[in-house]
Amino acid sequence: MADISSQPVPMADESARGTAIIAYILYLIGWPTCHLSTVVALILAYIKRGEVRGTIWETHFDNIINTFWVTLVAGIVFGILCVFVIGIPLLFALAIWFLYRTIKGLVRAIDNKAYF
Amino acid sequence: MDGTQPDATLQAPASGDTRMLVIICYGLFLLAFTNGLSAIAGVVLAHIKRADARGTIWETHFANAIHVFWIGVAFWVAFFAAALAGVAGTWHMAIANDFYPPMLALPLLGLALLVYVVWYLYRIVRGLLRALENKPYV
Repeated sequence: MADISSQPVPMADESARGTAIIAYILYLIGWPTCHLSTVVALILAYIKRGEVRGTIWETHFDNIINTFWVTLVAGIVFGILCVFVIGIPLLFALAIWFLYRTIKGLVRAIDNKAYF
Repeated sequence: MDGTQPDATLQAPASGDTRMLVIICYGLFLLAFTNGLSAIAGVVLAHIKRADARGTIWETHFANAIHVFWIGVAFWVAFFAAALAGVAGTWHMAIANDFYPPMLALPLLGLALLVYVVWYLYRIVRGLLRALENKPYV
């Protein structure tokens, strides 16, 4: 604990940390906002990622962006597969996976750690 | 909103106040997703305050808000006109049992709405982020 927090945190990192935490929270409230907040989080991640290249925050914005696109494409495919019954458990598993990536990222961002 | 502090802005365009108004303006644009109307308050604020902010970085933010609003007005006029044509086409087909091409507008309208919403969010969220960092919209 002491050796991790002894490193000085630059201001840019503090701003990136706040943006990553806000983006994760926007992901978590995506369902009640018709996924508008999810799109906002994606935009935030794309804008901020360029400024934090090479820092631990890049891994969080990569995670936010990858989670969005994987969930979108898999959601469309699994939605079509609902015609066959297999799509229903797959969509359920996808939701769990989305929540796992988001909550893990949120906890690690709060702890000042890289996503991976 | 701006009526509460006219004296402060008359004397000198204090950048702290202008920055707060830019952030409020973007907040009103985001809030418009829940009420459909607060973007009007935001654009009025931007039109009033843009002259005071001439030559500062905040002018670019007010110009951005005004741009997003009026493009939005043009979009919604076109959207409702096309939606009307699409619904009329579907109705015509149902009663006359005849194909009417404007009904093809309906599925394309969903796609257009998605593109518009993402564009709107991009302009507003990016502007808000850059205003918070004291940068021009560019």
